[in-house]
Amino acid sequence: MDAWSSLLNGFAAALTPTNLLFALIGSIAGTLVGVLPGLGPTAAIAMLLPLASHLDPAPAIIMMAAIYYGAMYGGSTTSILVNIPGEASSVPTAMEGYQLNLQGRGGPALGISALASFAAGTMGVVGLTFFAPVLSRAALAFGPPEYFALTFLGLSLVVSLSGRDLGKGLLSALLGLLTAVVGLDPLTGVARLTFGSMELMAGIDFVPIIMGLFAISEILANAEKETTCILESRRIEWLPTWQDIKDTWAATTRSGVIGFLAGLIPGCSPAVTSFMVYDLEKRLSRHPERFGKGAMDAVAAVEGSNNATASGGFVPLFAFGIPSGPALAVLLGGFLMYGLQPGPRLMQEQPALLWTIIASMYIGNVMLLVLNLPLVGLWARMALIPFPILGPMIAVFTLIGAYSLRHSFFDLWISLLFGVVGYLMRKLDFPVAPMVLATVLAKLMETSFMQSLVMSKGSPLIFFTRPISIAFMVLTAISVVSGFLLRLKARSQRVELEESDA
Amino acid sequence: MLLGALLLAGGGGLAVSAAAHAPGKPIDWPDARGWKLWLIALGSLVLFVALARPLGFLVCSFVFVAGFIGYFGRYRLPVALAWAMGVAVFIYVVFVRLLALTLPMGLLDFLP
Repeated sequence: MDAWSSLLNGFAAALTPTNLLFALIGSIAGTLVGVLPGLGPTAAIAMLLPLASHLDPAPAIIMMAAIYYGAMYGGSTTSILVNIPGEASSVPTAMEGYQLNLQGRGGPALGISALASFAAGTMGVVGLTFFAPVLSRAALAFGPPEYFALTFLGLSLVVSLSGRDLGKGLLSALLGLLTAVVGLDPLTGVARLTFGSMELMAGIDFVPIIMGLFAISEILANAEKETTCILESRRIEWLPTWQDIKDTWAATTRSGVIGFLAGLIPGCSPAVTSFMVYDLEKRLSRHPERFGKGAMDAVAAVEGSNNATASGGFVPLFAFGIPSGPALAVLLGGFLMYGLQPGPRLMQEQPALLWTIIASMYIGNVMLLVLNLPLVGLWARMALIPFPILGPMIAVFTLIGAYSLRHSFFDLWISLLFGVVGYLMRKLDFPVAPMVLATVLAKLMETSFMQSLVMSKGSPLIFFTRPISIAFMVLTAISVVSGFLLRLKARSQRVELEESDA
Repeated sequence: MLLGALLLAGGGGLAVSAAAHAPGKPIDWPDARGWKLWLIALGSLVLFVALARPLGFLVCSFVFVAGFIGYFGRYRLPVALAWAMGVAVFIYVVFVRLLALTLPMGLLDFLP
């Protein structure tokens, strides 16, 4: 076995004190930027690039990679505790985890998300170790029509994310698409819905929107009710029980596999995967009624898929030098700083370096688990802070996070505006998830749709003549139809229930 | 055009479903006092953003946190000021110094 001996050599190199130290620094920094809302791994890696020029390539890249996957561990913390998803990929975590926290189960939810992150992240690294060369070829088969079909499948999830009322869910998704239309047309450069404003020309970024919809609207809703403490129950659990782990391991394993495969596709962000596994678990679950009211397996699936996608993203990076997202693009910059061009040639010329990095990812995942589990108790205690103290802190950190992304005051106003929008949606019982999903998908969807039509000279048949694309289209049809059937079933059950009550 | 048609369809669908359904649970609007608190919370956030450029994030955060804790929590002034000071120092140490974010400093421009 070639991979085994290379991996063993990689471990030998990764276990030197210097490399261990930098893996640890990267893990801590990654957890920190993951916990702070708005600050993502992209900014953190970019800030450390100048510092890395004083180091050898191996420790520097080990550290930057650890920041990337470490941020995926930290991202769940604020989602579960204060309902602020730091990134789009943690939005489903916030939907379920925050409900668990309100029931006093924030500690177990945090513990499960750390365990799921570890398990699925490690699965992703195993996939990276043994299947990278084979699977990387599949990633290259993705052209614009395949991307459009993938985002189309993503958008079809609106049917099951809509909660009780499909009409409201569709309107919410349309509102999300509408915000993404603002700005320059990606293909022709025509300004749309900008009303002559320079700020609107750059488009509306989805991070301030998410911050507003979740964090700001949460503060408004609590201020009005004069909440003294966000916890509903006084009983608090700190750590997950064996029962929790038994309930969630299947979801974790499934999401690890799906997350890794999705990570292979360049441009498929963790946000897309996390919504997909959330939807899948809802369908497979034996207790779908718990979804939306705090489902532990959903937290495990979503956090697991994030981490597996993060590991999977290294496959196209190492194999072809294609970054699958902004954070990996900055990491690619790190490679280039040392005159290393990731791709087939690097695999032959510098195998030792690549295997050291891969081995360090196993070690980094263990470090992150050890770092995060003891912190769970500490974080969970945050829920005990009275709202009048916690609320303004959430507001201040959210606004700084929203500002730091593009250094724009305009983004802060967007956050406040969507805070009010989110508050109204809450009151009128509109689901927020379809809107977030639509905003996240819209750009890739539109660009790939237009590119495909250019390729086919305007014929939409292109989406149904390519094998991968047609497979996604069929999945979309299945997803919509089965979503409707589930909806009908749920409705008839509800009617029966209401009749038996009467 | 397509979007418009979809919006119309969605609105129409909603209207039909609204007509078909029996009235659901009533919307839980706040009372007069709730609205007042809501407006104060939103107003203070708007003030924060408006004043963040001239005064700087640190000063604004300090005033906002102290005011919010004092008003909504009815804590005594020293308690509120201590929390606010803690938040401002945390922002300075972690965001400005450690993570080297360029936040507008306003009045406190002299800080390193």
